[in-house]
Amino acid sequence: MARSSLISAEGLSKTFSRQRAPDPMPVFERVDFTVEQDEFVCLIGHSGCGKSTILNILAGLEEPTTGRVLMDGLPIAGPSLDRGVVFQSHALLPWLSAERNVAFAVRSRWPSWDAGQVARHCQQYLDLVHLTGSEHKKPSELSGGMKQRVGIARAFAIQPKVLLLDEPFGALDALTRGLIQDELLQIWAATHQTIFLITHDVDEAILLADRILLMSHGPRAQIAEVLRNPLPRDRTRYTMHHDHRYYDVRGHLLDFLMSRSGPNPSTVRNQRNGARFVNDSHEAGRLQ
Amino acid sequence: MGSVKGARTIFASLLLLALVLGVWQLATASTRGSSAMSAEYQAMIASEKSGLPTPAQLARTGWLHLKSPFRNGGANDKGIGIQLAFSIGRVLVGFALAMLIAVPVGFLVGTSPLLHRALNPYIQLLKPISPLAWMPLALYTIRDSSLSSIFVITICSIWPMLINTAHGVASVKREWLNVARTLEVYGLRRALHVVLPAAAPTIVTGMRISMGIAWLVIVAAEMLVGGTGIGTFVWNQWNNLSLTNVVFALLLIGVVGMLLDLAFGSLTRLVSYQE
Repeated sequence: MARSSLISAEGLSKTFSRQRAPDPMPVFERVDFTVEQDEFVCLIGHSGCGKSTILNILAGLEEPTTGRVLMDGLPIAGPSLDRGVVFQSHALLPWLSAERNVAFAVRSRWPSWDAGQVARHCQQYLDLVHLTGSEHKKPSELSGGMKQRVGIARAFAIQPKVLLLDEPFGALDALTRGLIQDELLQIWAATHQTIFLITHDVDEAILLADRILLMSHGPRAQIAEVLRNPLPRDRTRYTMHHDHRYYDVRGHLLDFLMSRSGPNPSTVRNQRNGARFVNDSHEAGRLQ
Repeated sequence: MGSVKGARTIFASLLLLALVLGVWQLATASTRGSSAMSAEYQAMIASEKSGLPTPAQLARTGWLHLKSPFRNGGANDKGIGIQLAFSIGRVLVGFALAMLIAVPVGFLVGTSPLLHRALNPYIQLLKPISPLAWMPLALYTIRDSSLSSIFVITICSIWPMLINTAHGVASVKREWLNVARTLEVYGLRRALHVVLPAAAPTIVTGMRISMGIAWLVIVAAEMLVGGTGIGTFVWNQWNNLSLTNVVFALLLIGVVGMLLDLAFGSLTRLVSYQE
């Protein structure tokens, strides 16, 4: 290996033992992937293939049944401030204002900071997600999009080595989702934060990701393909669809999700008629 | 709209009050003018001041008590305010002791399912015991009537607080605990900044129930052991056959109970949050 990846997942599988099923099948197995420094990686797949479980394993909230995750070459053991998480359900503490939710994280990261430092730092990140003026509102007084913005500010504010986002825009309406995606891109451009994001939205993956991991159906889900996004990094939601490669990538992702994401990887390969991509399991696909 | 509704409510309440006072007046006044009694006999009854009071008599007695609530004329002549203060003091001390035990233990029980299962049978066994049934044990071991009352208050206050604290702590949302974990927040900071605020509404509801029970029990406990307090006052007035004083004391007990409940009601609003 030329240089070690920031995160490398090796042979992950997860089996949920149930009392009724004596020989339970793993939800996913043989999952290998890497996340490089400063990279934006999206994991896309149908619900039920264990995407969130993979993210929780990266976060250290769950243990894989087999395999391990290395970060900076060291195995992950439990959650850490090095890996910030944006939860699907925003997971704000409802008794704290937006500002104090972020401050709770900031104080955890830098316990020795005084109140002024914490407040300035919080304000900086709340401004970044355009929540200026709503700092003192409780989560119940915020809209869904604003809540998720607080969640994003909270995760960015601790300046983790990698940020893990679990379908952060899944519960939002299309307009809000677009807005926050743009904000996320801006913040990403400004901070060069390494990001790992889970989604089931094809356009979201194309807009945001440098690399897209495609996950097959569970049970026994695997990472069937890895696709390197051919669109230029300065793409936006408004310009993206002018690039003809956008439709190629989109078509390819949709094809995969609609018909080729079955559990057996060999059938995936056989069905690849007239492939426009050089794809191999766990290899980066490129447009030809 | 709201003010009309409010006016109607007040009107209905006042109507009810007038109705009750009217029935009360009729019921208590009619026993006096019974034609079968001789005038002498009636005079004797009146001088003994027995029988149920009319609303007017109650008001007069109440005024006499409230004029000097904190007068202290020796062991048998303490103002109603002093008696109430004794009772409230015992309830508060007993309740505070119960809180010191129930909240930490409830926290532990709520955090550990094993401990919860292990402790639950004992809680279920002890909970239905009438607090007053502890009194002989308390009097025998503590040998002080006032402290025994406090002990009884503690015993009866523990259970709702313990059970609610355990329930509140056990049902703290997993996602909030996960937030704490990803921020490496553990131990005391997690307990104080995540678990406690999350469980606070349930805990305070337990406290409110406990306080309600404690106020019920203190009157009975003081009637049993004597000495001071509003319960003792009620019992002494019963022995004096002064039902006017008894009824007045009942009213005060109700008012204090209501105020205690209101206090916990506003505390609940203070700690509650909306998801």
